Amino acid sequence: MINFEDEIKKFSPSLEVEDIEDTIYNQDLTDVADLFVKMIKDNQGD
Amino acid sequence: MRCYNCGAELSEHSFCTNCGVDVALYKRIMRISNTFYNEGLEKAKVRDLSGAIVSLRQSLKFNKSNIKARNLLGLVYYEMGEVVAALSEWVISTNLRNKKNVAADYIERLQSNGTKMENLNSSIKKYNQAYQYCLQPDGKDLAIVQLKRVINLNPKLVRAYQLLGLVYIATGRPEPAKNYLLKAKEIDVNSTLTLKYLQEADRMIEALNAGKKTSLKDKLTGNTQDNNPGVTKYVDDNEYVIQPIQMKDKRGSGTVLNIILGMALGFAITFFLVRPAIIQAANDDAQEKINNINLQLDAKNLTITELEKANSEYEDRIKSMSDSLNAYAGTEGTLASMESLLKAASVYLSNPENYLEVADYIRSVDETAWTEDTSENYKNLYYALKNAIGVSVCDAYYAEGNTAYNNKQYDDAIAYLEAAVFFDETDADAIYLLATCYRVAEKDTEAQDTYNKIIELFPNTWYSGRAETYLAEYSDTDD
Repeated sequence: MINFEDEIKKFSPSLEVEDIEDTIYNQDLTDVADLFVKMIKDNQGD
Repeated sequence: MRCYNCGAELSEHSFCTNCGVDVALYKRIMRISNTFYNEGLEKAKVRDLSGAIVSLRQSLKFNKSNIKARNLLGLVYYEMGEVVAALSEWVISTNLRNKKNVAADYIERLQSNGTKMENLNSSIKKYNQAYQYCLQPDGKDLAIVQLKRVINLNPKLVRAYQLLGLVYIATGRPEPAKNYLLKAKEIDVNSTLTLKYLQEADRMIEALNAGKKTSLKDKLTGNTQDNNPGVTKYVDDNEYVIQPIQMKDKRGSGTVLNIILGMALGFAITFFLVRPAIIQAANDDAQEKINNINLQLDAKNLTITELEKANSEYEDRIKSMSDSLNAYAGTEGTLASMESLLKAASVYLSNPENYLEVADYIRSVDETAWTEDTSENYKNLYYALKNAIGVSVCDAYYAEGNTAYNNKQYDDAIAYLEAAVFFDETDADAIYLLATCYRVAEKDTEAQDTYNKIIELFPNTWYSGRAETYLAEYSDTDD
């Protein structure tokens, strides 16, 4: 049995076109490759 | 694939042939990213868009510069009606690689179609409004109306179908819920949320059908508590027919009752559905008007501020100019002095013998008002005129002063003699008589100053001797 109140929490307002800029700037683009390169460079620094 | 250290193209070796760093792990990370991309691509091909999103995001977590994965992720979002998410991915993609990137083409295609873009944005706004209705206790009907509009504008927006399905289920209407959820499933075949709601809708439909069947069976077997004597019941083929015996008699009153019920229903719909929408629209209009008025008010405030600033600047300038003018045209200012000097020159040029009139004008010139900016020519003219008439004027005023002194009219005598000394300081008789007048008139300070001046101008003369004597007397008196 589905509970509407619980289910509606799974939804959220959709991003509008005006929000694109913020969405892009706020994206964390750090990837595993970045972490790996940083780790290697940190080790070399030591 | 390029080396993370030097940027050289990597070979099949586990180290960079250019700089020698170990790239085994780096290559593995890149391979994992590609594996997730392939998985995402396979899922996208069979329309498992939700699954594709998960895989592609994983791929980008390993390698953010996996352009193919990012572009495909944008496409998947676009296919699900999520334009903003799609555009974000494509914009990032074009920033990472600005040449030979299909994402630029996607963005251009989308932006070139203004109407479509406007519709998509409008659909998102309406979806957000519908979502807000859903959060209100009695907003489900409005949410249904709004979500249907959203779907008309953006027929691929999966989340709109899902929300609509949920609202229909929540309002006990599983059939339309199922229809919309099936449409969502056509776009994204493997969304857990869609499948869950579909399952619920099926369960509700089954329950309803089971209830109907039980009810029908009871009626067919006569196992019913409805023993209304006013009806005739019979089975025609597979249909169970219930016919009221007095149908003709009750038809008129039934019609009236139906009309009344219909009107009541109409009023109820108007009250619960249309009225809130009208109120909302009126509120929106009012809010828009308030916003417009606020904007106008801001603009006017800005204008007023600018005008006040300009006014203040003008006032400062007026004050500055007024100060300058006052400096020139004060009570004994330069303008008046200049006018007097010009008149003096004019009178002197027309009749040099009229030196007393010239003298009056010359005395009107205020030497103390002169500044560094005062013209040299102006000063030269002043001194030239003063010197030209000086001796004659001094003699004339001395004679008048002497007469007044003899008549013991000391104030008049002082006025004449001050004028005489003003025009000719070198006239010892005039200055000595002036000092005498001061002394007799008991203007001691002026008398002592004048005696000091006599000693300074005419040293070792009878005048200076007398001056010293009188000054000594003043000294004795002070002691």
